[in-house]
Amino acid sequence: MSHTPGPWTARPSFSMHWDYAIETDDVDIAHVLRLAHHDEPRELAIGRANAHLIAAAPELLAALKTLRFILEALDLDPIATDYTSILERADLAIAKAEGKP
Amino acid sequence: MSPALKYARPTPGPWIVKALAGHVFELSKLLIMAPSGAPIALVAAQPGQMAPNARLLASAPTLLAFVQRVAGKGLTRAELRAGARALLIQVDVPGQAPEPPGAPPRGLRDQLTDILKTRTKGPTRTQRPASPPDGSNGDR
Repeated sequence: MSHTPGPWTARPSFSMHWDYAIETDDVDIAHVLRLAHHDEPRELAIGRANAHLIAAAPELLAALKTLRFILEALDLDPIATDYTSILERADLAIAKAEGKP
Repeated sequence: MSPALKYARPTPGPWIVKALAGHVFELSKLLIMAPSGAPIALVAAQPGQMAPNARLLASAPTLLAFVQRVAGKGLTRAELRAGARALLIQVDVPGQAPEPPGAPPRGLRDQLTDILKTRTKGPTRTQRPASPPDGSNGDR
């Protein structure tokens, strides 16, 4: 069986022990644990970065699979490659992973 | 918030999937840890999908690093092909087992016990029907 289909989202949580819940519309995926020194802004920022990265994992994987497919096709027909499209998808996945708009 | 905090980097990988043993962990048996042993996330129990989700979660830093290198055009075609193949094996192959079950790192067991005690007090989200019988929009 494969992983829970995306998109996954990082939802801020008010739990005592975790700051973000990773979920789809219907399913819990994971809970990003609060780091030991969570009162420090830097630790909070790292936890948020971890949550964004985890939520982006399905898109990162999809981008990678597309990349691989096209790389395989490169051996057969290098002219038919849309490398720009790969980079655009990679950029979108990276932006989500890094929590950027 | 300063840009440095707004765009802080996530915990460096590679992240590890740790299977937890013991009855207190019955709600979640898979923990994502940093190489340092620091806990990162608890994987929610979803029938048939918990292990694949854990593999994908743990692969996230490696996936991001690879895609970033691709976006930066810093790889040769051969490196791209080899890297993509290795990552897809890591994420997709069921034989990629987590670390053997065992006690969590020192201090972590208490933290997780507290977490799961708290978790049992609140509503637990699981797979829900597409729409409630009364035709309303449900609780979200």
